[in-house]
Amino acid sequence: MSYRFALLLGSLMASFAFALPQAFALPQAYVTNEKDNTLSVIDMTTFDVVETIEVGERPRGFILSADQSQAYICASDADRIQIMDLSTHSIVGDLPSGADPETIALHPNGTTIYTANEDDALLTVIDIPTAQVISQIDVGVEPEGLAVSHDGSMMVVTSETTNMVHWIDTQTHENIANSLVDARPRDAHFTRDDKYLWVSSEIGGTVSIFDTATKQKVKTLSFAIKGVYRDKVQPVGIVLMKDKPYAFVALGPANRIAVINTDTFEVEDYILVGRRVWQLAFNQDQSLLLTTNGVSGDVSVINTHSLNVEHTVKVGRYPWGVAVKWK
Amino acid sequence: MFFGKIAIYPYVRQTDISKSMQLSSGWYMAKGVKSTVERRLTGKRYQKCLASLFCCVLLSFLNSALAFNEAQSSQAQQTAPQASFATIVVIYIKVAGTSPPGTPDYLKSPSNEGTAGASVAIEDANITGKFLGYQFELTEISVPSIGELQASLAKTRQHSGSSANANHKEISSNRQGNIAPVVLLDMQSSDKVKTASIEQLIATIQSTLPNAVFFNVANSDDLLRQNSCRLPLFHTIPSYQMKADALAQWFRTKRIDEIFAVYGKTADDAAYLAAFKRSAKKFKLSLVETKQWQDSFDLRRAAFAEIPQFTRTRETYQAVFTADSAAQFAYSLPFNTYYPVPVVGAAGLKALGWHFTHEQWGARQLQSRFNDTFNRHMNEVDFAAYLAVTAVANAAQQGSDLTQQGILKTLLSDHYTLGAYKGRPLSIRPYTHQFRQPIALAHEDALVTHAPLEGFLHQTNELDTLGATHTTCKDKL
Repeated sequence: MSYRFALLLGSLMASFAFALPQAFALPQAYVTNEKDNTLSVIDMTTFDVVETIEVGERPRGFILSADQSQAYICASDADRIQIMDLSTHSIVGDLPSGADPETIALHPNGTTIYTANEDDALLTVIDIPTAQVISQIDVGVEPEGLAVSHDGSMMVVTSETTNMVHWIDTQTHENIANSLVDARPRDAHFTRDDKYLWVSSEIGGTVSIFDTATKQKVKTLSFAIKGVYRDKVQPVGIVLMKDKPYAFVALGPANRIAVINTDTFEVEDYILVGRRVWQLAFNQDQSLLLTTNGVSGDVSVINTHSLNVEHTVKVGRYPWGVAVKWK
Repeated sequence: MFFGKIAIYPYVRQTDISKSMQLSSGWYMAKGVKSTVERRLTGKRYQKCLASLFCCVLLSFLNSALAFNEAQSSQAQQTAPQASFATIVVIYIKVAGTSPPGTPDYLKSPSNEGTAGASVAIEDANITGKFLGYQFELTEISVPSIGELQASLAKTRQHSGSSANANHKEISSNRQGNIAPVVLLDMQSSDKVKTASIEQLIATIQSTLPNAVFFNVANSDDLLRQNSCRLPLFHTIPSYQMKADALAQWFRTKRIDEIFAVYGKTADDAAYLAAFKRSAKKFKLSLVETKQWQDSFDLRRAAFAEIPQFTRTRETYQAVFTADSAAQFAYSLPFNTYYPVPVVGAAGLKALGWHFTHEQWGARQLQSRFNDTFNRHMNEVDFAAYLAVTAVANAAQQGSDLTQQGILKTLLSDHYTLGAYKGRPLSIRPYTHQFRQPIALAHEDALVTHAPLEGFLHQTNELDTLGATHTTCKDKL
């Protein structure tokens, strides 16, 4: 009798598990696979891909909402930003992004989202609650990197072919300044205190640091790796640590991550990862750094204390965007 | 793109430019750059907006450029330049006869080949230019033969007689402030147009536009490069030597040694074959036999019967190299040679400056901008024209002096590089003025790879494993 009850209970639980797939073990990493039109979900305890979710065509930029209950996915070829409910892993809506959204950034207010329309040389500003376009701002050719200052007062967009950083006032949506930067700027990041902006230049092979008050370049970092021809050093993704004076920069086909001391601006180490590494994300306490490796189709997991690659996780074709959910 | 076109900037008055020159620090406050078209057309604040790179003394060049057009009025762009923006005139000169008989329709070059690439580059450059205060304008001159171009130039000079002289005076008295016209040359070496006559042609154009900068966007002949050391002439299309070396690297990688070479009757074909012979020597390949195609029958009826006979040799071969710039025979060789082996060169695996299947390094964005505008794929001549305009636009972006001497100095400086969707920075060889660049190895349906291939090393730049690297102005091939 009791075993029949147990069986019943067991089957009930099993069906429960099927009906409610939100029983995900956190933390989890999400990776967009540009050539597979999918999202890989990595369990950050076991470092296995636990789910592969179909999303819109050519998914690239990927960010989480402030409370991490939702994700925004740039489906570039579907010309929209998809909203995913992360408790069910289902698409619950779209934002009107304009054509070919590549990257997205969220304003600290949590309700304004910015996206770069790569094919149209536009920056689109969207209000999330009403799903309305608030403004479209003319920027340079092939806008790509986006960053919003932590105080929310300004944001920047880099344009890959125009080779500029365009500074935008987030109140008026006006372009307030344009700074030239080395060839093919990709990623941009404000420092915690919003005093400086870091910008990577893929073909220039450099990282430029701007004073956000004067919009002037104050420092240019370059990289030299033994045994790697300098043409192949192509900085893309940048992340800055919260509590430690370190920045990590993905160097593309050099297949390495540069570790930079942000006090001295010295490159202290290079970490070998997968092929053509481009985007980066930390876990919650920043003890781990995830890298998307486009050509080898995997994600490297780096321990930020030891600077060793601890895991390599095979995902889909051309992994692009990455974010870690812990809430 | 609604704002990328030329001459849509009616809101900036001519007086603006003198107020807004702020160049020294290398960054630009553009207070007036607004977010919508409506604002752009009405906003009064633009009058003090937009840092600008140059004084715009360009009208004199425009006059010359438009004078060219009088001979070719159907293609003239009659829009007057907006004087408040510095204007850089791009003149595309195409000398091309009709395709020879026997070229299949589907292999003929598109009529807007090259100019399409230049106009995509101009659209890109003008988006950047609106932040920095310059614009590019395109004029096209297309003539069937070099003689007619010379005649039309002579006619233009007679026609505009005194005004042309006045322009010359202005140019010489104010050379520093003058922006060089950018001339893109689209001419093949054929029996009628030898490389020597291209140099002569440049001299002829120089008599009308003495401070022009020239870009060869279609001619791969290595002899032309050997002689351009002292000319204001750059080559954005790869040379035959670069292409042949790329194929040879592929042969070496695949351990293919014995090659049968077939070439057509044009001067271009002879030049490609000569380059391939040099590559064979350099990369230790053996040419088992060399044979010329005689154009003696129509292939489309008899290819399956005739080609195996034509490609039968005494010794066996492992691959066939073809040089066939006029598309007369190479297309019928793949899968049809006596020994069923790979065909490279003009058919099968091609070595190209650009292939439409290339999409890495952001190339996909350029390909789709091009496809959307012209409803066809971008080819290597389009890309070479794109590159030429982009090189000048990039110099403008960096605030370089855009006179002839200024452009030469910028492009030939030791640390010059240019990003161009090829995964490596491009640069220029100082003694041949050839743009160093990766070469696409591609077939009909896909890109195989880009040369230089892994393992081919060079003491200074891996890209120099492709093509002739002269070390002085006097070097010969």
